[in-house]
Amino acid sequence: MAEDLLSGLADAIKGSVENLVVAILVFTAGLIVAYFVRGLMRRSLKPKLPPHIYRPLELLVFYSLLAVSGIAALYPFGINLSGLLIAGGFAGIVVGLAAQNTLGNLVSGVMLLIEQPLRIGDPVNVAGISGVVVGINIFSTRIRTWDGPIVRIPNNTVFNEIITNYVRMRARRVEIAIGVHYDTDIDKAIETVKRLMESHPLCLVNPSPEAFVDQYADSAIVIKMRCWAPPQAWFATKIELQTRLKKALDEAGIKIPYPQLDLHIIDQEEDLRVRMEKGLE
Amino acid sequence: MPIHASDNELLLRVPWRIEAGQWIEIGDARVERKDNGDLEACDRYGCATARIPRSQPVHAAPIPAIYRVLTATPYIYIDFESSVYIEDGEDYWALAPYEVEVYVGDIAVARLSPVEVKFTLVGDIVDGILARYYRSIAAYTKEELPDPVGTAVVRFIVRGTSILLPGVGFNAVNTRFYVDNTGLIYYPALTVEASNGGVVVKTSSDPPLDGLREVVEVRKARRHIAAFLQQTQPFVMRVQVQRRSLTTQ
Repeated sequence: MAEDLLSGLADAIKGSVENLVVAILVFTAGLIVAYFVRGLMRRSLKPKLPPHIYRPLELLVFYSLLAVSGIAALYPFGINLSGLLIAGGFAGIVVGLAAQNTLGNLVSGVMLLIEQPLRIGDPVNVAGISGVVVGINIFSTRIRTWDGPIVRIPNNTVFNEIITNYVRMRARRVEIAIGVHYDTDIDKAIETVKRLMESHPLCLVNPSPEAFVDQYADSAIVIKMRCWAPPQAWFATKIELQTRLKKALDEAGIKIPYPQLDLHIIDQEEDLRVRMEKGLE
Repeated sequence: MPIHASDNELLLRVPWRIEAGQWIEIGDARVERKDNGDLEACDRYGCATARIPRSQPVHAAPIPAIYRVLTATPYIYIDFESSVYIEDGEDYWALAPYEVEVYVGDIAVARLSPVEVKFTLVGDIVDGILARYYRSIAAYTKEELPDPVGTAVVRFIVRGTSILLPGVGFNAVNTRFYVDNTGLIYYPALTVEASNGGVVVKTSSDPPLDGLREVVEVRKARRHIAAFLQQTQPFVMRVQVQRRSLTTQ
């Protein structure tokens, strides 16, 4: 009786040791494969992709392989994998529901890294936030707005919003409207603003600058001027043109009018008396 | 816009070495080194000043016209005053702008443009190429060109189909300059490969003529090279070719 017990115990221990050795071997093999794949990915992706792109991909593949080898290592112990997978599946659903937004950001982050609608350094407008992209990682994108603050936008939002990228273009149009007095010679005014744009180094020769009467407004004839500039110099070109415009019009003797209002008084039987306050004379 | 210098001999030695008390003026660009060590380099878009010890040599050298007033493109486009009919095996001449880089050792102090700076888009707004713009005549011989102050002479050699060419662009990154014994500056020879679809312009490192001297810069390496300036793609331009109708009565 005691001998049977001892021999049974010895067999059990022997079987467990064998299973343990097989499990360790399987896990070790999985570990080696994971390290090998990680090295392979690093060598092939590192020269082509920035770190914030290849590192998450590399980690994702590495830990997935480790998880698979861990599950495979449990097999010799007779642990029911289907039960584990079902349990894992339930756990996955629970975790997935709880971390829905986080996973959404993760997936959107991967999609953004693949599609690359924006890159670090690009001036962009995303979800109404305008500024320069200062960082893109797997969960969020950071934008430094024009007035300084850094805004973190979840990748899910970035991916689903309309993105305007101001630098992924060959040239960007500068457009300025200016009102001139109704007494102005329109041809002269148009010629003056055209000459101003042609003399600016960053207004492109082609497409050529253009100026035209945009509207006859209440107090002024509105002339619109347009020229194309290199995208990275768009703002500088716009403010320089706006600054020089007044001087150019002054030199050409063209007046920029104040808002005017003609007041007609009907059915006024008595004379209208107007008193001028001191200081307004 | 003449070229002047405090010492005429100074103009013949390119890169121009500017000693204390000397100045050089190339078109709109002016570099003056005062006796007290002040260096002033100006063009129509601004000035740069620096204090340089008298013991340090200051040089100025021609560089490709792709830095002023904005480093935005590696290409220069020469717009011909009249389109030119080009034929296989022929060569043509034009003028293209260069810039003057003032440097001390391997430090660039200033980059100046001797001529007005303009940019253009060659092609359309969707897939055109942004390029530095210059308008020049296309001449059959170098002697037909006007006085090239602030500009360098460009020779382009045509290969391929005959077409009517409105202008020629080229990648100016890392181009070498050549100079003749009168101080005239040359870009290296360009090869224009023309076909019905357009032209591909390749920048060589060959001198455009025999007997020219290469402008060897004194300093070792240029600093702060923008990433796109490492591109060496040739200039590719679509040209609308209208062939004559060949129907006969």
